[in-house]
Amino acid sequence: MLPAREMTRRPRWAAWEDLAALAELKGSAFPTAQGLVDVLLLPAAWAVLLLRVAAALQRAGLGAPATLVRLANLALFGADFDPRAEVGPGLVVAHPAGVTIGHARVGSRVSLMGSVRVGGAASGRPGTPGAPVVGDGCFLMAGVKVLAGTVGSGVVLGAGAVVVSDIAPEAVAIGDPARVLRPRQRDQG
Amino acid sequence: MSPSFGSVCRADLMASARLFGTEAAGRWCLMRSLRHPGAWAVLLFRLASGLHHRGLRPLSRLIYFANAVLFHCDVAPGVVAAPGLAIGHPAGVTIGHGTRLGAGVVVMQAVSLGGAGTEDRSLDGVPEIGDGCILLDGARIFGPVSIGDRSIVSVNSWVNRDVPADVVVAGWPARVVGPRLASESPATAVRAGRTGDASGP
Repeated sequence: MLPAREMTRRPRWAAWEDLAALAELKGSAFPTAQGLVDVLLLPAAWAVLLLRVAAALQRAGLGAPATLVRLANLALFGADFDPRAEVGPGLVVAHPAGVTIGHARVGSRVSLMGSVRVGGAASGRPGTPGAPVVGDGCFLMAGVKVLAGTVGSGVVLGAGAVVVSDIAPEAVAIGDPARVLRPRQRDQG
Repeated sequence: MSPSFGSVCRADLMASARLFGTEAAGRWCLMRSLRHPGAWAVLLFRLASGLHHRGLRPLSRLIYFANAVLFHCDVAPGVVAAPGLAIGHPAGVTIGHGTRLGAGVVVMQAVSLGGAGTEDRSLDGVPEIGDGCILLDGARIFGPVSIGDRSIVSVNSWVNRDVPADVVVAGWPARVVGPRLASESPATAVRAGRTGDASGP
């Protein structure tokens, strides 16, 4: 039996953290019944839940069922998530259509808007140094493509940014190729 | 004599296996590549295309429709693709009737190819993509534009004029940003071209 302090610190299910993060984005109270209903009526919630199911199956060594769940996610929501992607808790995929996460690493509490892709540029070798990494607390706006490099924690990537090299933490970066515009100011979001 | 349907599908699956890095799985590599929806999307396109060229139009339309519903992959049965086509992520890929794709072309997410759909008759025609080209996410090519062999079209680029062989093009409209070297990966080539930084993994 762990001390109470330790127990409260124990991480909850990643899927629960995802729903909480989505509720926060949508301004719903969570965890309340009303907030849960609000959130579960969004395709965003289901796409991420299917990602978690596929990832859990993959970790359990059930590759074929994981693939089926991945295909269902693509057919239902247009979101293509590789079950082998390492995604931290608190993921928000606000508009799942066209969002793709390849065999990449994504930190905790990351938000993705529509048509975002995180994955190697046809590199063909998952897990190679070319595979991109997105740090904790990043915010990726619509159409962002992260093809290579490491995005530091707390970075905001403006709409349509294309990342092909490292981005320093706590910055706002835009453009193709993405360059740091200014440091992120937390009170402005 | 065109290659048989089975050998074309086999070449496509081999191309998918190379793209997804599953060819190390040996004799099971073709099965492994079926874990990726892109491989299924290519097979459905081949089936639709085969039916189309045998005159079974309603059936080909049905398979094409299924591909759009299941994978959000809108590749017309009338696309002329040489063996060895690989689609990285099928969501949002749109390729119009008559477009010609060379052998071993790699198409990534949300790539759009086809006729320009305009009143200007000089823009009639469809793109022709050379052998071994890589079209990265969101590349758009409309009208009678030809892309040289082994060239890379970078992310979110719009190509409105012919592209030579073995180069990287990027931008809106796209211009040549550098050569494509045989040894480098697409990510490295794009990075070298876009940031002037030739180092990197």
